[in-house]
Amino acid sequence: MLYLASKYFEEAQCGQSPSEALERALLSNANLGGDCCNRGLLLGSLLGACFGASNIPLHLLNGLKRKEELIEATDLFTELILQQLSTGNIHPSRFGRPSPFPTKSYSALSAIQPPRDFRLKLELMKKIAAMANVPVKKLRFKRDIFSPLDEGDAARDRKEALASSSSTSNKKAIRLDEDDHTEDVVYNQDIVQCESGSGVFYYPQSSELVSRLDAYAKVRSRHGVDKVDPVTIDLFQNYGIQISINRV
Amino acid sequence: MPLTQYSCNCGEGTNLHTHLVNLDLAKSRGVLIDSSSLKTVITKTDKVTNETDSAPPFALDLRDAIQGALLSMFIGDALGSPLHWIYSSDKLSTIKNEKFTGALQGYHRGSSIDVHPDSWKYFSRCDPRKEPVDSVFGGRGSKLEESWRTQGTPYHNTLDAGDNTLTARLVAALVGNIVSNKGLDIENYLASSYIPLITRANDSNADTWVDETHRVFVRNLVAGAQPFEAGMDDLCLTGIAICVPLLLAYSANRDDCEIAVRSLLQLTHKNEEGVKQALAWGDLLKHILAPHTLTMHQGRSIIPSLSVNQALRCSFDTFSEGRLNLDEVLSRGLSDIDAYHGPNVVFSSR
Repeated sequence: MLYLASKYFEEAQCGQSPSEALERALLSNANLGGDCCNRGLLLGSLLGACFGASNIPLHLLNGLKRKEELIEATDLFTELILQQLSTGNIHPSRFGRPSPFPTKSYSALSAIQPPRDFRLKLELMKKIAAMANVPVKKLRFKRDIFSPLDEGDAARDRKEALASSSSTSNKKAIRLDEDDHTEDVVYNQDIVQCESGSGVFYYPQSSELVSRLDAYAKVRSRHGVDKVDPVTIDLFQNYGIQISINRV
Repeated sequence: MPLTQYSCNCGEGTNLHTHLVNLDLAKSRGVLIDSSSLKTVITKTDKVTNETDSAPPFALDLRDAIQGALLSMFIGDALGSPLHWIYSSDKLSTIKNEKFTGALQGYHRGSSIDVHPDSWKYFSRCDPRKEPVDSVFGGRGSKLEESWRTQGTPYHNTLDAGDNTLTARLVAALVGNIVSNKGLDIENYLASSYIPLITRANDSNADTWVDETHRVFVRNLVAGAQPFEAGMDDLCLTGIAICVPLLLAYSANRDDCEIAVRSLLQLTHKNEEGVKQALAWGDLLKHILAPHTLTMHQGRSIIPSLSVNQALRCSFDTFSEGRLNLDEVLSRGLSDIDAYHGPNVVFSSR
């Protein structure tokens, strides 16, 4: 963005109309593909501040689908900032302070309740965690029972890079088969990650998760599924979870 | 003339932070700078030196500049929606030739391209067979499910020409929040703007694509996580972009600005580097706005402003960590396509 901003700002300094420079910059950015929407937001913030709303080409402004709404909002926003700055203090601290996080209750959110299936899945995880402990090499289970702990691909990618550079002594490998997809899961004391062509998951509380997996495996290997308590079995059946152990 | 990174306690914040300053200009304005706090001296070319503090602002005044910044954001976002996330230069070129006679020349519908060459692998990460789309994303579920099941769905295929993506809609919502509350009210934003925009099927957000960071937030929220614990660690341009209204609103006080940025990014982009980058972007915006604020306040300023050219170069140094020289890159005379996609590519289009 900074390259584009500099190039087109200097074009305006060299005599090109600021309106044309702004339009050329934003169109060029769009034509580059990639993350052009987010780049467009940031490039727009820079060059728009440089050139001003007065230099925005009218056809671009008029072409915004929500033009009236956006102009009204930005007008009120600008007016608010000017009111604060016009007090004569160039570093005003009385401009509405942001509310710090996260110190208050979220009563406004109380209406949002977790769906029942998530609650049940969490119950299932607690049941598994309550069992004992044996090393496991292979498991088959319905992967999405852990989705509430998902932290997303970006975090997983970073943690994966970190994990690959650290000691592998405490890593275990288990394989998950679901819907004909073979998936690899690697976990250690810090991370659990799961990736396949159909999805990527990263689990932050790996020690807890490992405990749950190992615990269930121990009960299965010693006693068979009938020895698992009825509530857990019901939950498994409700979600079509099939768990089997293949010792390596 | 050197530009210097300067650790200061200028009154903008109680914490030690850095500014990029022109020492000669600072001295000419009688600004006292403690030499022991100087950190890194960056020598610039004569070209930059000659432009010091001389480039007149194009914007008429502060009002024009701030409104220009915000409106241009929405324009830049809307222009990009048809080609968003196409990274292959060959495919990009083919699509532009077939659908846009060589290049985008204005706004187009998000569905202008029939098949997005790269969308499937990303959409598959939110495969509705794996995610409770209906329960998490409310009434939008059916629309999302249909799109997400279809290979090659353009990311923003439901957007009309000139309409904005979800990220830009969040920026607009934040602008409204700041206006309504005379400053950021993060809880109000969360409950009244963010969650409704992310989850509800209404006309206020027509975008098909919901970034992973939002999906994770909602999934964890419905799983029982507290709102400020539900987000993920994410470092991306989106995180900086959604902060821009805060960077403008709190540009006069860096402490407040940092609190505001952290409050917002805590929701969906929990990443310390992201906070630093957003604040660095705020510094750059502040320098661009500085000539107008100086006019308003009879030239009183603790830190002398840089010209726009200098500020852009300093930020370029910061964001590229000194690996690239902007003047050198500009002097190559590359087309923008070549700079991002050509055989001697300089930048990532990410």
